[in-house]
Amino acid sequence: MSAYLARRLVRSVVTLWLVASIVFVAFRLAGDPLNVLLPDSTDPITRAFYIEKWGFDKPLVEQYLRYFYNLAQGNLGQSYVSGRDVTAIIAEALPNTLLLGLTALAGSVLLGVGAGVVAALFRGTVIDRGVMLASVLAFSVPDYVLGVALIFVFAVQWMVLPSSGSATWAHMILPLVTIASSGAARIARFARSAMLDALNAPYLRTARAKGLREGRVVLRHALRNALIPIVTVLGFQLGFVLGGAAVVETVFAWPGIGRLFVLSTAARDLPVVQALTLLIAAGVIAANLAVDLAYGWLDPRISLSGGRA
Amino acid sequence: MSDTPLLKVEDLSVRFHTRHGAAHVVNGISYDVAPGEILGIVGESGSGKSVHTLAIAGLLPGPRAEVTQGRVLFRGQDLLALTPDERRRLRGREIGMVFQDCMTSLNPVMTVGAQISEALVLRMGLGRRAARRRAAEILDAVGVSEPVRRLDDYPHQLSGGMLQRVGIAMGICCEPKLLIADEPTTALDVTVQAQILALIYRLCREMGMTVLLITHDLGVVARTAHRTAVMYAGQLMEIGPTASVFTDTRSAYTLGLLRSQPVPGAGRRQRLAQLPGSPPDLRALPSGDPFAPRNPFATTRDAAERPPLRPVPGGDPRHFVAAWYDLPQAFAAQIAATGGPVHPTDLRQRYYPQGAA
Amino acid sequence: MTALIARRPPLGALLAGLCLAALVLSALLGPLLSPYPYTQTDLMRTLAPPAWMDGGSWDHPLGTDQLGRDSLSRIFYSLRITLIIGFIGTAISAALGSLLGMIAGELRGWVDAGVMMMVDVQASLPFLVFALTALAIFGNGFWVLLAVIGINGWEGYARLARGMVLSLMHEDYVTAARAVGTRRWRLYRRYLLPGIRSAMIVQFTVTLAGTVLLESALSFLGLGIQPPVTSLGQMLGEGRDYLLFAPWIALAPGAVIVLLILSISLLGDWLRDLLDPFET
Repeated sequence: MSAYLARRLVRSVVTLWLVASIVFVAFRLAGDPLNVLLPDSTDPITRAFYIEKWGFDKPLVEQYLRYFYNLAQGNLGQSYVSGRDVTAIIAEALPNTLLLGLTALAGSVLLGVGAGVVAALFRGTVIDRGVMLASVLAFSVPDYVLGVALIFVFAVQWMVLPSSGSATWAHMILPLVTIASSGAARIARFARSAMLDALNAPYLRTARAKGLREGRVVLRHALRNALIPIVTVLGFQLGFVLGGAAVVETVFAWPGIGRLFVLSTAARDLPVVQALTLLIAAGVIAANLAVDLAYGWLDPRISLSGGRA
Repeated sequence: MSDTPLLKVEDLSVRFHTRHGAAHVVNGISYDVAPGEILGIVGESGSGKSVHTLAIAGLLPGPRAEVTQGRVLFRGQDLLALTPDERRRLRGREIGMVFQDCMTSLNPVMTVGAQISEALVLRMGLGRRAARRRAAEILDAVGVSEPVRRLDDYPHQLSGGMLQRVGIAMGICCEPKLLIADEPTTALDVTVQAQILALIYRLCREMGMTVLLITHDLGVVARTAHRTAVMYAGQLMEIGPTASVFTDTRSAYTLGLLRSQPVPGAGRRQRLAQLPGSPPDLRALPSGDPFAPRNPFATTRDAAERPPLRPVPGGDPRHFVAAWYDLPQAFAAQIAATGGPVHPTDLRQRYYPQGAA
Repeated sequence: MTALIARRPPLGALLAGLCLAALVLSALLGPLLSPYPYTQTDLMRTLAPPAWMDGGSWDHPLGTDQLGRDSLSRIFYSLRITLIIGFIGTAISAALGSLLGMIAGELRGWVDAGVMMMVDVQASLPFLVFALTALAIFGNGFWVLLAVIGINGWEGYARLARGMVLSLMHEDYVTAARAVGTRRWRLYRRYLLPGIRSAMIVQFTVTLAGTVLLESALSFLGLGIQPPVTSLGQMLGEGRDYLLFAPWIALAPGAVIVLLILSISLLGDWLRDLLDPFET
C-alpha cells in the first residue's frame, strides 16, 4: 500500500514541479515581457519601475528561486492588466467553476455509468444501440457547437432559458448540459465495455451458481469489478471538464476560471495565465492521485503487490 | 444407493445461435444418477459435456443458448418447467457447482470469506458471525490450512490448489444434494489433482452428495467415478459402470480416447494412438452416428442412421452404448484378418491393475 | 482473421466514409465550387438568409454574413483550412511522438525517464489549457498555432512506440536478427513498423479528430486562425453574435464540424474493430 502510494505521490510532486519549471522557462523564453505589456513609447523611468517591481532585473537563478518561494507563499503576483492580486482574481472566479464543473462531473458520472451499465445489461438490444448511438453523437458534437445550438434553441427560438451570465440557477442549466453531455458520452462507452467484461467473467457464473438474486449478481459482483476501470476515466474526466471550462464558460459568459483564462490569454496577462496553468495542472494531478487511491481501495490486487497486476 | 434417481435427464438438447447459424451443442442425451453416486462425464472440448450441465443448472449464457427439447427431472421435478426464480432458489442449496480454473472463477475483489459467507447468509439465512464461523469450518473440511486466517485473504493471495479447495467449499457450503464439478482438476498439477479428487470422493461419501464429475481426463474418472458417461458431438456414446466401460469398451470413440492416453509404467516405447480426422461441425451434423466418419468399425447403418443408446450385448446390464456395430465382434474379425492390435479387454491392465474397483 | 478483414463494413462506417470523402473532396475542389471569393464582401446584401428561407435566394445558397460574404464559399474555404491544419498537425505529432517514443525505448536510462516524465507533464495538462498557455506566452501567430497543434497528441504516439520497441526487444526473432548483426533501422523498418501500423492508424484517427477539435475551439475563442483567413471554428465564433438575427451564420459551420468529427470517429471505431480483433 504505502510503497505504491509513496511512489505515486513523489511522481505527482515531480510532475507538478516540472510543469511549474516549464512555465517559468517558457515565460523567459518568450522575450522581454515588458515589450508585450508596455507600449513602445513608455519612458525609461516607468520601464525601470516595472522591471524592479516584477523582478526582471535579478539573475535567472534568483528569479527561479523567488518564483517558487512566492508560489509556496501563495503569492501569485499581480495582474498586468488590472494590477490586482492574482490570488484575489482567481478566488473570485474559482467557486463558479467548481460549482459548474463539479455538478457537471457528478451528473455525467451518474448518467454515463448508468447508461453504460444499462446498455451492457441489454447488450445487442434496441436499448444498447440507442445508448451507443446517443453517445457517439454526444461525443462528436464539440462543446462550442452544442453550446451555440442550445442557446439558439432554448434562448433564441423558445426563449425559455437565459443564454448567458450567472444570475440565477436557470443560468446554470445550459452550460451544465453542455459540459455533462460529452462527459457522459465518454463515460458511457467506457462503462459499457468495462461492464461487459465483468458480465462475461467466469466469477459471475460462480455468483449465479450460488443462487444469488440477479440484482446482487449485477451490483455486488459485476458492477463492483467494472468500477475499477471506470474509476480511471474519472481522472481524465476532470481534465476534460477543466479544459472544456474555457470554451463553455466563454460561450455562456459564465464568470469562472475558464473564461478568465481565455480573456487573460487574449490580453496576454501572463501572471494570471501562469497561475491558472499551475492551478489546473495541480487539480488534474491531484485528481489522478485520488484516482490511484480509489483504485487501490477498489482493487485488492494493487495495494499488496506494490504495482498494477 | 436407492433406486429412485436423484437426477434424470431425458432427451435433452441445447442449441447455440451463432452468427453463422445454429450449433447443435447437445443432442438428445438421456441418463440418470442415483443419490450418492459419482457420474464421470468424459469428452473432448465441444462435446457438450459442460454445456449440458449449465442447462441443468439453468446457467446457459443468455439469449444465444437455448434448450430445444427434453426434460431434466431433479427429485421428480422438471427443472425446465420452473420459473427462473424457482431455478435460482435451487442453485447453491440443492445444486452446487465447482468450476474449472478458480483463478478466474472467484471474484477478485471479494475476500474468500465474504464469497463463502455470502451464500450462507443469503441462502441459508445464517447471521454474519455464524456464517463466518461456518465458512471457516467448511474451509477446514476441504483441507485449507489456517482457515480463519484465509477468510480475509483475496483470491490472488492463494495458490491454485488452495483456490480450487475454496471453489469446492463454495460449491458445497449449502450442502447441496447434487454437485456439478466442471473440470475441477484441470488447472492443477498432478499431486494436487489427486488430493482434490480424493476430497470430492470423501465429501460425496460423508455428505451423501451426488456428483457429476466433468473432465476430459480418463484417469480422473477411472479413479473416482462409480459410472462413466462418454460424450461426443453433443451425444452420449457410452455409459455404464466405470469398470465395465474401461474394461469392456463398446464404443469405438471410447476406445480411441483410451488408446490416446499414456499408460503409466508402459515405458517410453508405447505408441499413443491418435484419432484420425476431426470432430464434426456442430452446425451441420451428419444424420447418422457423428463419430462414424472417423470410425474404422462403423457400418453403413452407422453412417446413415443415428444409433440409439441400448444395453450392450452380453455385458453388464447397466452398460449402454450407442452403436450399430458390435465392437468386440468387429475387433475379433480384424484380429483374425491381420493378426492386428490388442483386444480392448486388455486395456483393463491399464486402469485396473488389481481388477475391478 | 481473413473473414474479419473481408467482412463488409457496417452501414454506419460506410456512411461515415462517404461523408468524410465528400467533405475532403469539397475541401479540395473548394476554389472551383465556390460561387464567390471567400473574402468578397457585399454590403448591399448582409445577413441574407439561406435559399430555402424567406427572403433567401440561390445567389447565396447558405446566405451571407454580417459583411455580405457568401457563407457557402466561406465554408468551402474554412473546411480546407481546418483539414489542412488537422492533417499537418496530426502528422507532426505522429512523427514527433513516435520518434521520441522509439528513442526512449531504444536508449532506456535517463533519456527514457525524461521522455516519460514529459509524457506525464503533458497528460497532466488538459490540452486546451496547454494551448492557451502557449498562445498567451508566445502570442497567437500562425506558426505558434501550428506548433501547438502539432504537439497535441504526441504523448499517445510516444507511449505506443516506446511500448512497441520494448516488447519487440524481447521477441526471439528480434534477438536472432540482432545476433546476426541486422542494423537498427532495418530492424525497425522490418519488424517494428509492420507490428505498430494498425495501432498507429487507429491512433491517427483519434488524434485527427482531436486536432480538428482543438483548432476549431481555439479559432472559436478568437485565439486560433485570425481573420481574414477563416476556419470552421472561427466562422462559428463570429456567427455566435448574430444568433438572434441570422442563426445560419453559426449553425452552418457548426453542422459541418459535427459531420466531420462524427465521420472521423465512426471510421476510427470501425478501424479499431477491424484492425484489433482483441479489443471488445
